[in-house]
Amino acid sequence: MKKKSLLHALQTAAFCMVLLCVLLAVTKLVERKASEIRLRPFLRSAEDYDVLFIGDSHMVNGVFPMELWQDYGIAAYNISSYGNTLPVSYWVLMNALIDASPQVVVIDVKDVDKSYKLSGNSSDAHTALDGFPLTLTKARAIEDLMSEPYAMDDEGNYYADLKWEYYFTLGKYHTRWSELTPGDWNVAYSRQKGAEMVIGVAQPDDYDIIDERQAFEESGWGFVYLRRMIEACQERGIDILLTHLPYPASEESQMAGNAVRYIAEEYGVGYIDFVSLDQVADYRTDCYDSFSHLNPSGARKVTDYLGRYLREHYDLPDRRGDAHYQAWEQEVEDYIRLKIDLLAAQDDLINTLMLLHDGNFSVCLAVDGDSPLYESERLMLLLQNIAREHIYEEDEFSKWSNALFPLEALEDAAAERAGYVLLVDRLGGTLSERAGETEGAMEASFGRLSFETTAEGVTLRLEGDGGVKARLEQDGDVRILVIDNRTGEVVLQRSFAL
Amino acid sequence: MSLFQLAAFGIAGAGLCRLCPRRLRYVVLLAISFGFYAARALTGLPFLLLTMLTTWAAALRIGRIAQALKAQLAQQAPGREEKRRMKEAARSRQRRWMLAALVMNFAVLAVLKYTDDLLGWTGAQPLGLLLPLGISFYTFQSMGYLLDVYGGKIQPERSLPRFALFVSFFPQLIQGPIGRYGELAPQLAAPEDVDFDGMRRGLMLMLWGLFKKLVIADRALPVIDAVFSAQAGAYGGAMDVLAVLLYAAQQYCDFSGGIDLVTGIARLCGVRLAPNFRRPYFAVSLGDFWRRWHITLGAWMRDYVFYPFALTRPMARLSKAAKGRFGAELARALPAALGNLLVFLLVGLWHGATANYLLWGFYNGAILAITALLEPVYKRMNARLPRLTASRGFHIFRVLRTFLIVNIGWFFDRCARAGDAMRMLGSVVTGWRGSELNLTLLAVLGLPQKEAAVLALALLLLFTVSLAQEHGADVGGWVLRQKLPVRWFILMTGIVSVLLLGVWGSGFDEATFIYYQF
Repeated sequence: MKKKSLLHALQTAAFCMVLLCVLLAVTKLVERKASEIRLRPFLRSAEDYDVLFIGDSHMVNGVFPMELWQDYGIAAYNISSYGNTLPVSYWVLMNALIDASPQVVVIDVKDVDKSYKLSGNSSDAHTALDGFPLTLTKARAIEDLMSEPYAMDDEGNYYADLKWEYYFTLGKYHTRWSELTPGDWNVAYSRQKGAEMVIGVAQPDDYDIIDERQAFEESGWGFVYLRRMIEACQERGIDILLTHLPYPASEESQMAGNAVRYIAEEYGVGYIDFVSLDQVADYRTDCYDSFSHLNPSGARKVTDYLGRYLREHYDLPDRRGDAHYQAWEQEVEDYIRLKIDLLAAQDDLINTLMLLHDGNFSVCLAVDGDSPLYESERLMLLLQNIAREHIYEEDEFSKWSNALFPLEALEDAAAERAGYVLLVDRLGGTLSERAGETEGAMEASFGRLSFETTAEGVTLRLEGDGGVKARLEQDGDVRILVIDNRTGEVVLQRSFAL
Repeated sequence: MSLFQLAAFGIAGAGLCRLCPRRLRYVVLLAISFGFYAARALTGLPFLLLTMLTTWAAALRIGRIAQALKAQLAQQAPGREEKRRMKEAARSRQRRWMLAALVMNFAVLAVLKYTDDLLGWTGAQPLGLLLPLGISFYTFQSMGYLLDVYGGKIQPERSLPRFALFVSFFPQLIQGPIGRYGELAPQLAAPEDVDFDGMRRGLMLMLWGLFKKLVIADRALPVIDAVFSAQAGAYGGAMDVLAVLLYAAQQYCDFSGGIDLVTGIARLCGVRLAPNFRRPYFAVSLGDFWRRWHITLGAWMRDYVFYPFALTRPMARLSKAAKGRFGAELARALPAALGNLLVFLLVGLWHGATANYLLWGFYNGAILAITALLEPVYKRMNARLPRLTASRGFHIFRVLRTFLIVNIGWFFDRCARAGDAMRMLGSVVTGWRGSELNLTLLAVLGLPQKEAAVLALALLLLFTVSLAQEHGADVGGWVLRQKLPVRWFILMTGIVSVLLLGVWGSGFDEATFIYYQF
């Protein structure tokens, strides 16, 4: 009898174990992958990162760690997530710091004045937290974030009632069985170290910069958790840099950002208020949407600024060439491949021009004399934005200039309705223009670019390595060749008819 | 509390019960039941206590009157006339107690249940009274006990805790079944030790109940809601028929699924609840259907309404009067016919004091009454065509005919207004619009293609299992007899199917059963 009971107990235990494994596998399969895609690469080597960026979607779209690596050798990861409030960011950071030991944490303070702990979209906190393993810290995060009894999501569910779905995510995602894609079986992890490019060029909302002394009184959970984050980092000996990433902010948002200035002073931490600085991003070319996340053009400018600042103000090592970081070289390859794919996927001149503001690529571009491009202020700006240079004056960040690089020949071509050819050779560090010439050639580090005005318009031919690398003669009035700076190879040739 | 929480609560409760000595288990079950009720519906607790205490006290009083009479008769040895007079006096006192408790409890139920319906009739603003959890079920169960004590079929329960458990046993509180004291109380007093096989069967029954409720009933719900709440003429007869067929499946799977779940929980606790369903859509007549659907309510109505009514003196007189005019057979059937009519009007009223439910009750009662009156004709036909009526084809015909009759009734049950039911039935005949039966429209109505496929497969599985059970197969036993890998595969597939394909989680209120509201 006893033997039989023991057998039954063992059988039940084995069944439960197998069932648990099956349920875990099923949960993993149907789970929305947004969190895992971004956090898995981080958790695999959390101790490697010297800088962590934390914030909401503005940070996700606004700072590219892979650019920091290429330009400054800073090993960074962006652990931000869409819809993060400061309380969520605090808990994301606490979970990240279980394994990570960064030298600097960069915290974006957008929406610091908000009084709620969670956004109305209950999926946001899932995206922020699901990718972390279930630990005591994660449990504390869930308990704390869902602790307000009357907090509700946009669908009218009390967060307190949804708490269990953050422990047992099958409760949230089981309905996804009917929408599974190959990406759920074979997850494509982030190649951007947590950042994400959003492609678009929007007209920004109007805004006025207010006086820095106009600031809110501290009130609400945002301020509370910002202080907690600073204190938690300082306890661990981690430096803090606060940012208010650029967007055409309302007066209220600027007043919230200004209030952070006092907190930064109080704790003796750095604070870059890009909003009131108003010089790094050009909202006419750098906004993905009107309210207003940065597109890759804006993000690269912000990232570059942050790179210089971090390099200047913190004792961060340049990890390039470090044997431990050898894998990053391959990751750079993957990252550039991703950017090439993104470029190739664009069938819109506006987005293509925006994406060409990129240090990884050189550009050959021709515009026909009768092209409507010359009549479009927006396209003209985006064209100039390709070659925009960041002018930097040592230790004088307030003098950071957002001036456009003067493409003088472009202005002439537009005035005379003449053909125009631009060569931006980032590898060789040269920029050449031709306006109104029927034919000619320009030398670049990756080859010789010749152009000719034919019945089809201004055609381009790139020669190098003893042969023709690319010939662009198709219909259209704007022709573009994009060259990968590392290889000198043409990675995109495209004609656009306006 | 979601269904999974209920299931987990039930399993934990059963585990706790199992750890206690058998004689103390009823105390544990009572504590769990009260804890469950307080957690689910604290505001309803006073009503539960009221029914519990009044029924217990009245039954005890009725029992004491009977005992006192017995002692008096033994002591005084009265003459025949005096004995009859003493018995009548005692009976009268018992009746007063019985009626007092009966009227009070049904009055509470009626006030809570019908006030809003009656206000609706008068056009006044409903008060929005909330029915205490399980009030219909525990009231019927308690009143059945009271009437059994009054009828001398059982002895009154002296122990208040034991009686309290009989009324409040937590699995039953959600939507029944309506238990009988004679069957249930002895089990509750000392729940049996559940062996490994019993536990597995209990858990499998719970899983099957969850499957029916979450994968079938709740999956079908959006289409049913969309069609039955649409404007007049929005859909043709074809869509109306599909909706009512889905409603037939939803009704059955919602109610019987919930019953399976609580029966499984009770089984784990060492208590066997009375069966409430026996594959009703395989019934060969409407009477057969109602002996398979909500069996315990049907039995309650039979024992406490139908027979008492059919066997009353006025009915006997009516039957006698009819004998001369319509013949003996019809006269014998007349009380049964009227009894059925009364029972189903009451069942309709139990669903709600609205025209659609009353019409639904009348529809069922009238068909059963006509069937009772025509019973002699059927018998003669069966005698003349024995081969035909015994054939498989005729059996299938009877099943389909009953299914059709039941589904016509479901139109009245589901439509908010009787007029809507008539309109939908009319459109089945006059405005078929078969082209509406397409996957695109189903998706618009809330059943996308993949979900429709899941629903169809789940219904096919339900049909297959039911058919096997109808032929006497022990499907649960068959699963348990399989070799371990096969058995585990079946069980795990079942669990994963419920979790993955079931409708539950935030945004879904899977814990709401249709029969909650009754």
